[in-house]
Amino acid sequence: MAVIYIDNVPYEVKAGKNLLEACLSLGFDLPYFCWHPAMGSVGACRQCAVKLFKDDQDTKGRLVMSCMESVRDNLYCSIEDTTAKAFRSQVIEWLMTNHPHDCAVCDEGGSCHLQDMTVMTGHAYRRFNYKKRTYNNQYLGPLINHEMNRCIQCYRCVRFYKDYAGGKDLDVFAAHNNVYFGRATDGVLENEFSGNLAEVCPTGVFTDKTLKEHYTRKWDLTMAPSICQHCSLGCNIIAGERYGELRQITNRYNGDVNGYFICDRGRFGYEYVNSLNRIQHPLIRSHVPEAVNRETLFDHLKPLLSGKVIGVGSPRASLESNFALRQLVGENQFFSGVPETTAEMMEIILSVFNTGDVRIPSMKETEEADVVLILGEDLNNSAPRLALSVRQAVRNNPVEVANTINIPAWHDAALRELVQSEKGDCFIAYPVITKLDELASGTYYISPDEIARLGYAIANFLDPQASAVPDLQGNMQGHAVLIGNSLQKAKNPLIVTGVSLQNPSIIKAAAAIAAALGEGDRKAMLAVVVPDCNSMGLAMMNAPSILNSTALSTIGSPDTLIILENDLFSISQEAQISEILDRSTNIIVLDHLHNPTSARADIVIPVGTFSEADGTLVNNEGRAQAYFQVYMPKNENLRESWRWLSDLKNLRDGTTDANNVTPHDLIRQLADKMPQFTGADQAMPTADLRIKDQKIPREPHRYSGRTAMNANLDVSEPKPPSDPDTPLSFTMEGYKGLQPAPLNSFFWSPGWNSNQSVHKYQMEVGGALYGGNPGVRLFNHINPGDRSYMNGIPPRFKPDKENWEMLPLPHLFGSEALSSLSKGIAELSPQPYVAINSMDAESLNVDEGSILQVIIEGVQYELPVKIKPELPARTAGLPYNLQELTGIKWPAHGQLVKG
Amino acid sequence: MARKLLLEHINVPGIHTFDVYRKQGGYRSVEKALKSMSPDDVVEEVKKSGLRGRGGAGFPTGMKWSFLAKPEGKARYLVCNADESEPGTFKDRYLMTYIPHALIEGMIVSSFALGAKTSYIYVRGEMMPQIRILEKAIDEAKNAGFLGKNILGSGYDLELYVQPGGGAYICGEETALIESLEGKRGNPRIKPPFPAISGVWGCPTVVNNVESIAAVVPIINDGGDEYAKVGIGRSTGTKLISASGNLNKPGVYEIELGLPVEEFIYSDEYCGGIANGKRLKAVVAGGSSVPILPANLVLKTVSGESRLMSYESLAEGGFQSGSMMGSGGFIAFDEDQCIVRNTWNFSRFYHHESCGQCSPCREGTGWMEKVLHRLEYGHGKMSDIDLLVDVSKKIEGNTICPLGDAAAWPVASAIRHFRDEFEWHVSNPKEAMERNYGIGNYADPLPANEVPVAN
Amino acid sequence: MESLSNRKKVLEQKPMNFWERLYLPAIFQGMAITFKHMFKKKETIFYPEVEREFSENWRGMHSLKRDEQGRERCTACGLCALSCPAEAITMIAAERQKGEEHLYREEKYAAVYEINMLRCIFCGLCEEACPKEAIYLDGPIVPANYLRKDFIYGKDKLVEDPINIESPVAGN
Repeated sequence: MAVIYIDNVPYEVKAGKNLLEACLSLGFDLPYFCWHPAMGSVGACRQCAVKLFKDDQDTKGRLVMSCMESVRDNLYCSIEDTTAKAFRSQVIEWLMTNHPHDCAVCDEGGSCHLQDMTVMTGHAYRRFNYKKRTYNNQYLGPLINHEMNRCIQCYRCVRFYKDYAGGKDLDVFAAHNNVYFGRATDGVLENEFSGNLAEVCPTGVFTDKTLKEHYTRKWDLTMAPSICQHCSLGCNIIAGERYGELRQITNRYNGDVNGYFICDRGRFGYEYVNSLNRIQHPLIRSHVPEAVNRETLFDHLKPLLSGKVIGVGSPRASLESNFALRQLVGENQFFSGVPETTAEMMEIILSVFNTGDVRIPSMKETEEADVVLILGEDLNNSAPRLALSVRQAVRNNPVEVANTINIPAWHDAALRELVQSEKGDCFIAYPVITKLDELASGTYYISPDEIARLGYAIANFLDPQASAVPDLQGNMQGHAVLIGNSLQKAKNPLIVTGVSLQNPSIIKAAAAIAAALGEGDRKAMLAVVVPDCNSMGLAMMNAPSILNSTALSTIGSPDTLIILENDLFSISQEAQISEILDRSTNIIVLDHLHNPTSARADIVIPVGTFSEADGTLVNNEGRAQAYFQVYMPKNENLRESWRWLSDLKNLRDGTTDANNVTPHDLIRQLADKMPQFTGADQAMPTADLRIKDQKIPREPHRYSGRTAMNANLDVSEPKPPSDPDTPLSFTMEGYKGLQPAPLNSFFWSPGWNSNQSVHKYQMEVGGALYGGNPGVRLFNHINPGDRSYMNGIPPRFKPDKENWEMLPLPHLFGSEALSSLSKGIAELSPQPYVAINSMDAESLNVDEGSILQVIIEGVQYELPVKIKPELPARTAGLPYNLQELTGIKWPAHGQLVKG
Repeated sequence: MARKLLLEHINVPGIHTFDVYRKQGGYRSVEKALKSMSPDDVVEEVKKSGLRGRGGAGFPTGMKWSFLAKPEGKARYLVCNADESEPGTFKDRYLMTYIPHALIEGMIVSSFALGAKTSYIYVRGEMMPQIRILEKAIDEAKNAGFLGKNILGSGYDLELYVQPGGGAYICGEETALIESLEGKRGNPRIKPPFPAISGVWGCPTVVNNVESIAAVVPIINDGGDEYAKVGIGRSTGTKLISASGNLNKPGVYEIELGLPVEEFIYSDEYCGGIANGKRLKAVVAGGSSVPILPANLVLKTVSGESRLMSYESLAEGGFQSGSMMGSGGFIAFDEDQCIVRNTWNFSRFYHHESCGQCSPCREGTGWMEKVLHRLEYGHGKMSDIDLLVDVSKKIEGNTICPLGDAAAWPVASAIRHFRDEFEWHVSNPKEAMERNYGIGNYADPLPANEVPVAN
Repeated sequence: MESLSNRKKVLEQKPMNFWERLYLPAIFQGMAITFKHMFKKKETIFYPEVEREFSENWRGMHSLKRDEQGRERCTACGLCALSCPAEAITMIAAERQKGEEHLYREEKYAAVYEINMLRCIFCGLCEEACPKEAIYLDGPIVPANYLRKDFIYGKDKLVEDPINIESPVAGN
């Protein structure tokens, strides 16, 4: 701690920060542009100037940039000093000399950091009356819009894109007041995190192009805290709606999970909510007309629920919905709708997490690792936000050196100069080149089984008690020793693995390494990537997979099969799914979009997507996080799955709930029933939570047009929808102060209209939100005792001449079904292909682009060849879960024939 | 004739070749340093000599060298800053063209003193002929065993590389030069950390001007104490001055520091007076970035003493009535020159050369250029003059690198000393387009003890 | 009871005298005023046949303006809606496409612009907030109507007639 004097008032602040951070943490409004809490200081914009005095006697002082000044004891500075104020307002005037003042047509207007700072400094009248410089804009792809004239040259975009996220195709060109931020030529931005440019840019140079299609000002959006649905990491987001349409996804700061950034899949993958393919009415196929009202539906359903009812849960439905289904069908009739191998892997992961032999890191903790080993994951495509964390982690070792010569951690410019391209150790074992390879000190392009064997060899090197790997390939032992040594030296090693390659042994091997590294209660970190947003939550319910052969025998031929938010045809082969569906007399599907499974259903019930429902998800680290309904859909058929299912239960039992069922009630019951969910009920607040007797508003207090926007439907204003399920209200009325962190519908503070206001919600800049970061971790058990190892070393991989090993290769855009329905993401998704190495291509006598017949269990695909020279022999990569390639049962083998 | 230390043998035919240079006593200092001195001895000699950086700032070279951090296991670098691109300065180019081995010799001794195993000469990209000359000279020195492994059997290895510059004035700023040398965009870095701690590729680095490095040669040959005897006060040694403008004999002169300005302009040994028999109106004494002075202030200081060519004397009077030694780019203006136009021209240069990193310089220089352009072309307003003063004041001292200061000083000083002329441009726009203001009272002798009013 | 506010005034009723009790003088006084007005200029205006002259700062029906080339000025920035104390304005913004430059002045325009005239209080804040000089309350009185829905004014009723504008570009 240090005592600093700001305008002669002493404050106690945390040492090791810069003065700007300290001032903001103390609640002072000090303008800034180039500084960013996650990216540090470079001192370029000169906006955060304050007067610094030598001591309390010094009256003259000098102007310094507060972002470049370390906090130290007895520091005297003045924010209110007239020269400092005049200089800050002059900086804005400078920036404004070439800013077009086109706020009226700018997408950023109303949530613009530049607007806020201009007002804050008090600059109002221009003295510059010359021609402004103008630029040509670039086409940057379907997701990001470019409007260079608005640029104020804060350099944040390139610092984020190049330095922080490792992008290669955005840079700064030219000089003086003509500098240009863009690509060398027009083209799609290649980085997975390009969407963050819209948030990092303090003004409207980079904006969300999907928002432009249905543009709404921030103050006009109805917003709610939400959780991203497009991978297992559970990034916190804010979803915004107007006129019954989901319009924008922005990052919601969570210091433990995503911090300030989310990936493009999460940001732009929301458009399926507005899809025309939504199921709008309950459908009874045998009824004429098919679309029915609720009464008819319930009348029709009542007899169907009394017989043998099997429920199939979903890894993309909330805990509440899955639990409501389990309550409806009963414990033994509840199955999980995931592929068999996935279920097996999830079981392994759970058992590893439960032994306490490893430390399960939050995303923030992964950023603190010093040596990283990635086994069988292409993070940029399967869990992109984690890749960004790994990118920061490899800098930790070199940055530590900087501290020895007194360069503070926030001094980004100096750190980058000093660190240059030096990196900490990072090892990646994956069959093909991944984007993170550029960071790696060792890359191993080997088949999944070999990855597992490498992992076991490392574990064996670290702890001879772990079983040795027989028949190790030539140089593999050398690799294992190299990696093992590096891990052993590490202070904070991180092992990353996951289910992408559909190989359970890899996870076992990774767990073995982590266990072998740990000593006492100092365990190594093991981060596991799982398939879907609630895969972990569903797995924790311990329901067997519906595709499991033993499960199949217990099912027999049920009267009714209820499938919850799950397109079964996408997870396994059509024949296998059809076989299950054919057993049942009646099939009920609850889902939000029409899909092959709903096409087979006898009864289809429309349900709300994440923006129309409340729920709780468990992410890959076992963190239960709540998401909230953003808006009340106009179509009252679009209800939460758990509400439908609770109604169905009442319908069958002939009971009526005296009170409305709230998600909190369901979670509490769940935690009562299954102790593994203890604590999850803390994640979802009770519906009757009030602050000063008020609900928390979803709409900013400047929300406009309330008496006009629905006037075309009903001129006599309808009562606003009420929300009995959560403490949030659907209107602007309610408590305006600081809310509990999980209930932050939007970030706004007086004078801070943009997302930069997030620091007003943090206990200290860049730290945890007031009241703690949202989410409750369900695995906290650390076992200081004996290590346990799981066996199952696969035999050495032998290239099979006939039977090729098929490798599922995930793609950021395309591998996740829901996000692929967004226009922009569909445009960027790859075309189907089959990847083989050059030798195999030669032996098959094919070139890049020639067509190969790929036959997997009798199903034939015609795919163009893509040559990836690094692929192991006799393995073939297929883009995972691409629309044209769904319904493959992984792990898969197949034949390749020249077509 | 005054004493010459750098250009002593400049008129010897073929001095640019190794053999001739060697015959004239070249590379003696290398032999002396490597065979009989330790690196610390060399640094000590340079400290004793009182040599001050010849690039513009005038920081004592020996002191700079002693600040170099020497961490274990990290390389150290010496970089010679030959990115000479200040308007009015062309001394380094002259030196490199005609006597390249002086620089190479200085580089070897300096690198030895700093313990650098690899050194760079960062030459302005436009100076292609000089780059070729230096490369040839390095080859010759290498063949003669003065570069490469185990120089003169002393066990000291040195590789010397010539790096063509990135084509921007800002790359002459030491940290921007380092960035450019690393292959990045030439944006200056924030100090601290100073290059002496974290420079090229994060390693301790010293960046010195061509002339400073060449001056190490006579210091080692004759000893630091001997060198310190030349010059006046803390301005020791000789200095190359690039004289240009309306002079009878413009060119590069080596002067002993302490030479009176008047003598330098009017004596036949140096510039030989103002061309065409006109009168001197103003002088920019040290390259475009230093404050401009009217004739009466450049020849005599406010206290009535005659001004000398030395760091102290040129700066006497501070920003009110003084200027700076700078890089020695001496530009003289006769009575027919327009100060407004000249200020606009300088401003245009600084606007164009601003790197675009920090706001005051990026936007401020552009703004000043536009205002000055308007003043020069007869569309100015009286308020523009105060606006210029205000903008230049806010830029000064508030930028990452000194380019902001360099852009602000000429404007601020021009308005301070030549406000009449600026106002005349506003009040007589038509006339200003047709003729110049003339000498006004700028050459009148200063009334005794009167200090010009500050703005 | 004592007055709570201390402002109570007690009125004394004086008894009327004879002349007052006759009422005749008062009747004649009243009739005199009546007759005097018969010869004065009439204040009544026969609306809607005749319309009152409005003062310069009269605020009537809104109109969305066009520029001198006949292009819509409104960019759907939303500031009018934001400033509207009755929250009676709503709009949907759209991006101007290539080839529409003669229709819309800037790169955004209001695809839908609606004012709920039942709610509007004619305060003029929208006019004041508009950065593009696009909305003015310079129209006539908003006419009465039979149906509530007819009080929702869309762009069809609000946007200025393009014909009134002399323009070289309009009409292509």
